Amino acid sequence: MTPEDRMRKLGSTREGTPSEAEWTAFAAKAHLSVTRRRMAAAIGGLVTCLVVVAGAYAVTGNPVGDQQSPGPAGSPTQTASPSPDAPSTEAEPSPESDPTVAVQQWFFQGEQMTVFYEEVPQTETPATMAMRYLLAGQPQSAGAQTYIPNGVDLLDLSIKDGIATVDLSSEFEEANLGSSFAGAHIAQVTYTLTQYPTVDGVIFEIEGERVGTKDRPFGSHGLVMEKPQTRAEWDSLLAPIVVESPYPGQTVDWTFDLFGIANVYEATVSWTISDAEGNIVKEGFSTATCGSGCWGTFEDRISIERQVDTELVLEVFQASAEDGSPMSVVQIPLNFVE
Amino acid sequence: MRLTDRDEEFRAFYFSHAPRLRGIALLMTGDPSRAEELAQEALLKAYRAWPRIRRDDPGPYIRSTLVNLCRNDYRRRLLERKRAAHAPEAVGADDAKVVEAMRVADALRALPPIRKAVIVLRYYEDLPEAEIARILDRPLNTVKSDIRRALQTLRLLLQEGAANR
Repeated sequence: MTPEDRMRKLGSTREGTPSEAEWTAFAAKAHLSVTRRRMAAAIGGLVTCLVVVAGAYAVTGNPVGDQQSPGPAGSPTQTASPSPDAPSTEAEPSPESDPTVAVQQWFFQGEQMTVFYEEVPQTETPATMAMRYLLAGQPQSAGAQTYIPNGVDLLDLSIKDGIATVDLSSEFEEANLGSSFAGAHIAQVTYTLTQYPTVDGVIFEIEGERVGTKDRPFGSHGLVMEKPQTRAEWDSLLAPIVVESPYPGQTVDWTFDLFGIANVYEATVSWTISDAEGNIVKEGFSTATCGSGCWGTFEDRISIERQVDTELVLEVFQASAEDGSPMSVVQIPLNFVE
Repeated sequence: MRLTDRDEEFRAFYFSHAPRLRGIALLMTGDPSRAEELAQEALLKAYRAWPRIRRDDPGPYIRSTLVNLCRNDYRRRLLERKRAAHAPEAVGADDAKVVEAMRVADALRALPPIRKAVIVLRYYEDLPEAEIARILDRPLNTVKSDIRRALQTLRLLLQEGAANR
């Protein structure tokens, strides 16, 4: 019997009906997921208002209603408990149409900071959205860790002349980090906000007060950050290779741009594209602007022939100085247009 | 709308759709426990979107959602498989139908996920091509060629399998 006949047969037999118990369990889970989203929407609304007051429109984006965000891990202080009849703000993005935007979030993987992406519905100014996802601290990707304490609220965010001023609740300062990770949470926020071209540096405030000055050092390590924090200040925490584009799961054309940050041997960043079986479809390398001990950016335009299989994996790595074996490998599954 | 009203409406949808969705996910993934999770996730999404989707036929919405979830899952698995050679789990499936679905899923493994989705919707779900095009947001002619090519691949594999025996 052919596979299609077997499928037909499977499809035409009646399935067992779910039990009442299954439904009850499902309904409980479903209620929870709706209420959580409503909470998140309520909190999101609050943050949006503050941001609107501050006039942070420097980053393009349309702050519209219909907020949606992941349930923030720790915002237990918010007492807004919307009635079950609140207007349905939990609308799910329809599978195809609603505009989504990929947001960078910088987290740690082991001892090194790297970038993670989340495709989220575009609901408000991108920088605010990125901060909210970062503070929620629950990246969907496995293995990501955050040094931002639980329950930090975004009180305000404004962007002017390339400088973002971010006001966070006091929990942010209470991070208990070892000396080698002092400021790891500052680095996460700095990288996350500087993903936008309109932001070069970040100034930190805690509960409305500028911190990191000589008179008011920041946190238990007494960090002084007189100047706005930029990416360069925190690059020592980065993984040897960080790929900013493309991101995992992205749909790309058969010609696409690769770029990122690296500190690799002889500034040489290698890449391969392979299929599900591990066969290499194409390989190449790019030279970073700096290497062997300093951080540089790299970019390459990759062009491959159209394949039958449109789901391929891009791997970016450095060849070890000793035997040329791949090191610091970054894997990015891609979806090519059909 | 109140959650209690939503429950009342969604309940019928749940009972009529949950097993079908599990069946689709099982054919797409070949893994009963993941199929269960993916179907559940699609149902949760539909539940949350209910006030918006209830007026039209929610069937296409949830199928489209489920197929997207399965494709994302496939991508994630692609990575895992590269990290550690991952043998398909031989779960203690005692239901003959589940076993058969797993076998068919195994035969479908050679197909890219989108073609897999097309022929599962075509033959398991018995949907017309135009409906599949709508669900997957794919041109009708592409769907037709998807079906043709998928069947070609499967025939070829069957022949090879027979020749090797």
